[in-house]
Amino acid sequence: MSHVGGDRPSTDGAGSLSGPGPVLPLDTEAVLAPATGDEPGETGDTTAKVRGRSPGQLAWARLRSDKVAVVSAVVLVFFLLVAIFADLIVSAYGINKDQLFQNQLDALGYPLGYLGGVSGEHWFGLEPQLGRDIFVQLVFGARTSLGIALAAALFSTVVGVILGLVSGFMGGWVDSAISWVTDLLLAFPFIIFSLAAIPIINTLITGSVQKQPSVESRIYVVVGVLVTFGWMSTSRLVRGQVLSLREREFVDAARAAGAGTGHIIFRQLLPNLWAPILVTFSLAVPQYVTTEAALSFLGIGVTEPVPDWGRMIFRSTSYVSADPAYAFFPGIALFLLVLAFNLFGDSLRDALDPRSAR
Amino acid sequence: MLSVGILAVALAAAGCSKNTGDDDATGDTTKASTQTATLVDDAQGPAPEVDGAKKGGTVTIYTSGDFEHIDPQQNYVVPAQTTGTNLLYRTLTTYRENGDGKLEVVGDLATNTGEESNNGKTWTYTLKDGLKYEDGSAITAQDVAYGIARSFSPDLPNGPHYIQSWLAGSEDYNAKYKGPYNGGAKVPPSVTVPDAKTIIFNFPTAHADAPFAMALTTTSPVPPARDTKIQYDNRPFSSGPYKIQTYNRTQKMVLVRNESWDPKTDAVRHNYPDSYVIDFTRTAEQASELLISDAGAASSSLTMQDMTIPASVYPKAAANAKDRILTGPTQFVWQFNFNTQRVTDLKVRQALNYLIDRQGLLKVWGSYAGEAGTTLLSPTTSGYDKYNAYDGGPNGNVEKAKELLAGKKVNLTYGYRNTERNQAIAAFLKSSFQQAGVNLNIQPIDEDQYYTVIGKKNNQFDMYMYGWGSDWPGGGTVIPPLWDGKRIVPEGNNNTAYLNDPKVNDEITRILGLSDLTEADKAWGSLDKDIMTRLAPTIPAIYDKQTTLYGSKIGGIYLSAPYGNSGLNNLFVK
Repeated sequence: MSHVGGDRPSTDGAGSLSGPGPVLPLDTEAVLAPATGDEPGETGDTTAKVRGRSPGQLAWARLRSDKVAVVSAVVLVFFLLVAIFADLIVSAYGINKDQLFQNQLDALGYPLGYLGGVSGEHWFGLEPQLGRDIFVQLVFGARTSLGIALAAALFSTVVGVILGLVSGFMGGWVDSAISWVTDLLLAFPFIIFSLAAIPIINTLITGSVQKQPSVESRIYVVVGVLVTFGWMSTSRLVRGQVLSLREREFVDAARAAGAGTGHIIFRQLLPNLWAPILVTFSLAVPQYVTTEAALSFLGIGVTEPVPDWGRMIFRSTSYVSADPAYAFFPGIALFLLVLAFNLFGDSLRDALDPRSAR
Repeated sequence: MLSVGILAVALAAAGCSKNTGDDDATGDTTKASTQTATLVDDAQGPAPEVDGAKKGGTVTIYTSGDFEHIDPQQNYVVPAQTTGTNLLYRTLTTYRENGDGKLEVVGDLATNTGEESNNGKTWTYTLKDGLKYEDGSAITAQDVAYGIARSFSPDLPNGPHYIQSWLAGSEDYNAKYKGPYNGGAKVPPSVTVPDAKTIIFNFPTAHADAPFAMALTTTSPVPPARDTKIQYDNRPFSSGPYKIQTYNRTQKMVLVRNESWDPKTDAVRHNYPDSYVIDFTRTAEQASELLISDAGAASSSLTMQDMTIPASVYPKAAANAKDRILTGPTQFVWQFNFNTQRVTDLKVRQALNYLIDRQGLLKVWGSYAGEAGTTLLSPTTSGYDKYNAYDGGPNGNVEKAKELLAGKKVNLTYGYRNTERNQAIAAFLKSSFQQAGVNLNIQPIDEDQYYTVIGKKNNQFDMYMYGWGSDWPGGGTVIPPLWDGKRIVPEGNNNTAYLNDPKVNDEITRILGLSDLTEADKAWGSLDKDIMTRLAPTIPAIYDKQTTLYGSKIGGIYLSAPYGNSGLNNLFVK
């Protein structure tokens, strides 16, 4: 559906109330096409109808043609599928997550054979000391870690966007208050605070030091803490964007046309912010994976026996000299995930806003 | 990218060799030998010279975290006890050993191990001549009495409570006397000090093992003028071969020679090194790596027993520093206690005793750091009798366990002290018990809260791991604290299985009253077997082994039998 007419930038302040403002680049092909009345074949049978494309469609086309983006997207989808279908994959593999294979460890607890116990039966080898299958731990661990990271990224982005929009647009005491809270939370040393706060929160939830929280409530607490300390960078970014956008003519035009604050924030400004929001979201996920890993390592995140990618990585770092294979597979997997997210995020940014240097 | 490349190369280099498990790198396999200590009258100094020893150098000792209490009357943790008794302060009696298996108890401040009279109820100690503190002032019997008196104070509740309970005649030693503060007497009840060189203990009941109790740091002398109460941890006053020069809590402690210490009065200690540095800032991994490298100051360093070489570092240590590993059995036994108030079904407890896979557990624990244990007493404790009440073989017997469970669905909550190693042990138990259909719900407990939580009588856990070491050679400091039902209190329990069996309680009282220590030892061994066979309140799991590293320039090092730590009294820098 062609939007050429409505999207034509106009500098006289009479922009449409229903579409996004003119920050996205012109559709050069659309400019060349006829404005209205598109009878097919008007200029001759051999001329194909040239249809204008929206900025969104343009971005999608750019993304699709970017090889790096495609490859990294495939990797991300792969991880997502592994996380979603973890149970199926592992039952097809044939070993369950609690099984110990200690008879395949030597007297010191290190896996026999090559590469930390890699074999036809154990594709990624065995964990030292315990003798659990690394492939199984990794697949289930990916589900735990990715799930928590995605949830945390989603919620912290939502919170950050809302607060950034509000503080950027409203200005005045609202902006000061929100900025003050942002600065306060940014100053907190996250790990130290978590070390202190998470056990207290757990105790508050269960009501006594003796009773221990369930796995679900531990996960909610971890997501909660990650969100509480993660929304600030998104909010600052959005606030900065809003500050530059709100002086634009289309905002004045909208206000002149009678739009309320809410409408301006959510229907005028927000659509212009999708690009940076999407990019920060995609860069935040791998950061949350590693942060959640740090929490699990410290024993305040997800604890045994729930498999956790991060915990496995931190445990494996102690074994790097004695059993490097243990660190290899989860390390490579995390590396690929982080790389894919970063590359995809970059490609997304390029696709959405080609004015930035390629 | 670079890190991945490095990892890949390391993997290729190390991972491509096949691990056939052939080299038995578990180190020293000396069997634990039972310590029998002999009371010896020869307390004359100086201690015999150590071969090859010379004066000079600085020894660095790594230990995990600060000493909780170096105050002699609050001192109850092995690294602090070793530092205290070997270097900083003296006690009425002490141990003499050099690692060749012989263990003697000799007079330290006292001329001998004590004159017994009144059928073992009265013990008289005469102090040697020429005993001085770090400022040259004389050590008196009144100071020894004062040290014991302050150990009664509720402000100083840590430390062992044997002497206090014996003097008061009951476990509730604070009932009548609360120490010398706030107007209390400077001499505790049942103690008399007729003159500056004599101290007499008049216990209400007989205590044949008083000479051992007097080796506890409770008997270290404290001049009343120097007593800073709970601040005494920061700067105890020295009566030993070294004194504190600086003590930065949680960072390091520096000791230098105490010039007033007279070696002619001391049958046990030496002062070869010029100074000691106790470093609290390293992790076990870091300290072990430093010692393997043997570089710089590390070549004249060692670690305390709390820094057993971690499993992740052990292969490197065994490959590069095999002759610098000090290893041997200690007096500690690790077991998985049932909360017998909650796990009341004897068959369940017996089934799990058949089920436990000790060989697998050792792979998680670190097989160089322990041996499979099947009794309550450690093999190093005299009276130990080797038996296995529920022999499921080295890997446990799933069938026998299932038979005993007879199809019951068992759900137990296991609490563990939240450290990496304990997490792995918990995961191991969970997986291992699943084979017999037992569902173990594993729950972490904060590191600093663990003993407080499980020490509460009404705790909510069904099983937890507990370790205990004899306070001096003999079953008398193992069985009573852990298995006497009469000692159960609302909080702060050591009997964390909360076993309260009248027959056991009476037998404990009976054995404690015996005057013949050899007879008592045999009786403890029999009681050990009775408790396990009849009641199975715990799953004995591991006899502890110390495995630590030391630098190439360290001489005179040995494993102390009563403390399970490196002895420090003979150390010198080569």
